[in-house]
Amino acid sequence: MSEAARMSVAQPAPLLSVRNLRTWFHTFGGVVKAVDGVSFDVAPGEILGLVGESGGGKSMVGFSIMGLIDPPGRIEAGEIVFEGEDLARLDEARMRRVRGKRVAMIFQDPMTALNPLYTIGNQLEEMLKLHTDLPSARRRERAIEMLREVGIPQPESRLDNYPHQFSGGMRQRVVIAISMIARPRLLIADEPTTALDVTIQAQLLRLMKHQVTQNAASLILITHDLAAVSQMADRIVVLYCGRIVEKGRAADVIERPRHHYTRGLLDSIPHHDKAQARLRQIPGSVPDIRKLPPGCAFAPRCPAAQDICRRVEPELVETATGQAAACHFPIEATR
Amino acid sequence: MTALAQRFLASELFHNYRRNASAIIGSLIVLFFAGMITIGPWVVAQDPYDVAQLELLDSFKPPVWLEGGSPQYWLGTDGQGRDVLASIVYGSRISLFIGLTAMIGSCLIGTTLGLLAGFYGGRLDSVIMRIADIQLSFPSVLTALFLMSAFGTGVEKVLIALISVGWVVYARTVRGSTLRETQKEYIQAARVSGLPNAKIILRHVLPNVLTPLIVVATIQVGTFVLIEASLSFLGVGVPITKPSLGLLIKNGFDVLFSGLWWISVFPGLFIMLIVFGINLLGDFLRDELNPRLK
Amino acid sequence: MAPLLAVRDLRQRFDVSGSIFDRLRIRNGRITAPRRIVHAVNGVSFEIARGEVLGLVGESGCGKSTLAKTVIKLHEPTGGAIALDGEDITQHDFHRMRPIRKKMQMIFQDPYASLNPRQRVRDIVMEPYLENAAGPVPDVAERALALLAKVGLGREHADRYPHQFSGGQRQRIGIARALSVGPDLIIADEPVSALDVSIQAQILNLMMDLKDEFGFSYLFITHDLSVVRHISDRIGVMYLGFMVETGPKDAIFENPLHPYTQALLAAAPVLGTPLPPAADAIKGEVPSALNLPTGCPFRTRCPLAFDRCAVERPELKPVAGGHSVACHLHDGGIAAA
Repeated sequence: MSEAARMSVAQPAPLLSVRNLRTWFHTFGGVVKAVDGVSFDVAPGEILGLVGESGGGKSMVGFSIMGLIDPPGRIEAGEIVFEGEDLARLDEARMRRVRGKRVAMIFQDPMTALNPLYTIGNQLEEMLKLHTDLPSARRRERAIEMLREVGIPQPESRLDNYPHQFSGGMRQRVVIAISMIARPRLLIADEPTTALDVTIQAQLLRLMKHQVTQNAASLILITHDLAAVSQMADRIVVLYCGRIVEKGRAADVIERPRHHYTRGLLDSIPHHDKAQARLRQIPGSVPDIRKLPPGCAFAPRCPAAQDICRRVEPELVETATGQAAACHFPIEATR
Repeated sequence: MTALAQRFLASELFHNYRRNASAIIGSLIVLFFAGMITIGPWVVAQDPYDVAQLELLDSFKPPVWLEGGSPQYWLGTDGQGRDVLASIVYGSRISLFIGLTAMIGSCLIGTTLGLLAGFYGGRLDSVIMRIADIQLSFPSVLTALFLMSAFGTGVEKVLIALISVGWVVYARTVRGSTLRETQKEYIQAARVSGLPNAKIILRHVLPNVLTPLIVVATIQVGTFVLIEASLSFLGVGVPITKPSLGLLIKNGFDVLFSGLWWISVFPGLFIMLIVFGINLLGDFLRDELNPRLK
Repeated sequence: MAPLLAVRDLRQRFDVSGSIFDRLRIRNGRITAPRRIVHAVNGVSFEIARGEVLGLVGESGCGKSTLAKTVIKLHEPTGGAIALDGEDITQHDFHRMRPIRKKMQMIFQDPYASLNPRQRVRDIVMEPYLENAAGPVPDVAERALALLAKVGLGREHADRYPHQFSGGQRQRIGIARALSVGPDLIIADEPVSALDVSIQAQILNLMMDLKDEFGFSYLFITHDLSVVRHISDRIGVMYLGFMVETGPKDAIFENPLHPYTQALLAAAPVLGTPLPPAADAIKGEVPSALNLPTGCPFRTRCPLAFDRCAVERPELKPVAGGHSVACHLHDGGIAAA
């Protein structure tokens, strides 16, 4: 298992390769460096977890890949190489052929992703019309097949229903069906289960994993939920204030975090097996991203910060196991 | 006070304002009119309503740049030798007085009713909003005609006619905002704190529903100036003794086709200018204050 | 000693049918006007002792928030009884509720919507106190600063407006507001679910520190199992407006008896464990509260449902050691699971 995972990391041609991505917003209050020099790869068939708290920039990474950054935001620099093609350089017309067909995205709120005026059948068939050369007679069949795959009972009759006739969990299933129907190579899911209940959450995560594996696609799961990501992802990228603070194989990052922010996040989650009176907390709050301190952005909240942390921004340093942390004093694996 | 001014100068509103040509033009026009109605009467040559100052010999003088014009009367004179510019200054005061007063009256009545309808809901809400619907179906001209025929002309009847229609937009806006605000948890927190409804409305709801009204109120002054002009032009507006810009147009209208165009055209241009200025400013404020457009 | 809060058979229904014109339907050639009733809370009973934390868990639509708001009388209860400190407050009107406001306060879910954006922080935190004070309060400013200090905010924060604070700081302000009257019971409705993970820990720690200092009780509403396990002494599990299981924290987590509780625990993601297999999960979704199932509310999703579940509604019955469950499988008090 670990051998296979390491193989996929070392694979020469990743499906997606994000290099030094900078997505900035030029606002009245200053430049918001929502994504500031982020690099990572997604291998074919891999599930990558992109985690962090609000303001970390994780959603903006997803939007940048999809070419959905609107003014005052802009991709300032960097490459988004997907199947050998730099998406950051594509114009809107060519980007539209990538979106939906080769890269699909799922959002937190399933209601806004569905057009309330069309039946879900219309919306599924529309995707096929846009992105495949399936004859119209076959489209309905394929739509029914797809709904059955995502676990919607009586798909033949549900096809003619409107989005409001579905419950929240069912809507998110429909969204997954629409995003997967054109068999994209990469699915980006931005907090896909946050708005849903625990019991539904587990069903949907399982469904997404199944869909992605079945289609040999890759998944970028963007979430704040470390527990969910630890159950799903092969590798994890942790973002803080628009920068990567840690990345590596999921088990490594969860069990042996090297960055103090990752460790703080993990410790903040109440653990029932440890009878503790108080939770370990990260002091302070996320700084204003327009006025980041010099050096390491986490230094003001970091228990291990020294003078150098407040002056020099740390580089991502990779260890032998492929785990990388941007920290001057990374946590050594003693546990 | 200076701290407040500094905060304003550093605000995003002011920042955007400085980059918005139409907002600057609009506010300059509005400032110009503000100056005109406050210090204008001391600047112009005569008080057009003081008969002692009128020279009948100077009647129907054209504007200064035309043959026969006099430097004493820049924009010419009317049939009684009244300076058109002076008439416009005094007329603007009446037009804007009516526009502003009717706006304030509409705002007070509409906001109160909107708050009550939105906060209490139920039957009270239905009654208030149905009255609003009925009001909207009565054009203000009809209301004015009705009032004039019953009670004769007068500024207060024009105000009643304008307010009777004007409050509806505030009531609807405020009711909508109130419904949205009362869903929020800070209203529940106020209930849990034991605040009576009157205090909840005044302290918590009212301050949070006012912002969208700034836009409505600004644009409404312009609309009211226009409606008042139409009413006066039709003869159901202000009395002869209080000639607004609209009435000036009507007075000059009789001689318009004898080539004496300046008596009604200049007041008309000034109405256009003030409404234009107010609308430019209103559009800017709407773009800035509406969070949904941001 | 009498419990601080005793809730008996509390019911809360909402008529969502709208006006008579919205309700008119033509069915089989006859004009009818059916009512649409949401059965939000359906006969819930529980007690909270002094200094105790009762955690209420359940998924959205299970009625836990409505229950909390009914207990504090933001909604008038449809049926049942609420007693605070031995005093029955079920029928209390606005004026008779006034002394109760000092004993019972609330912390809200949304740190952005729960503070009036046009009020200064010092006015926000003092509002409940000033509204319930017997006479003039000469030391308002000092009291406000003292309250802010209790929740970790400084003098420099007092004159600011809510938009100048982060989510976690706003939640501190909301906590200070609830503290201002020195309550015996604080109802906390999802107080950390809108916050980032690292901030959640800060707020939970603060809430527990304050409880230890002042000795009040919490009714803590949440959907997050790890949070409820951390903070509660006892736990109530709600489903579709019913209390399906209550008991001491450890009993609920280590020996869950109700099939719903078991499913909920199985579905919750746990750090570093693989996704639970589909066999553990309950199927389908929560039925509509407009139209409750007959018998047991959970029978439509329950893997263990049998004939009796469709006809008879199980009652919450004690099994052992303060542990109660509403399930026909555990009817005879068999706690040998």
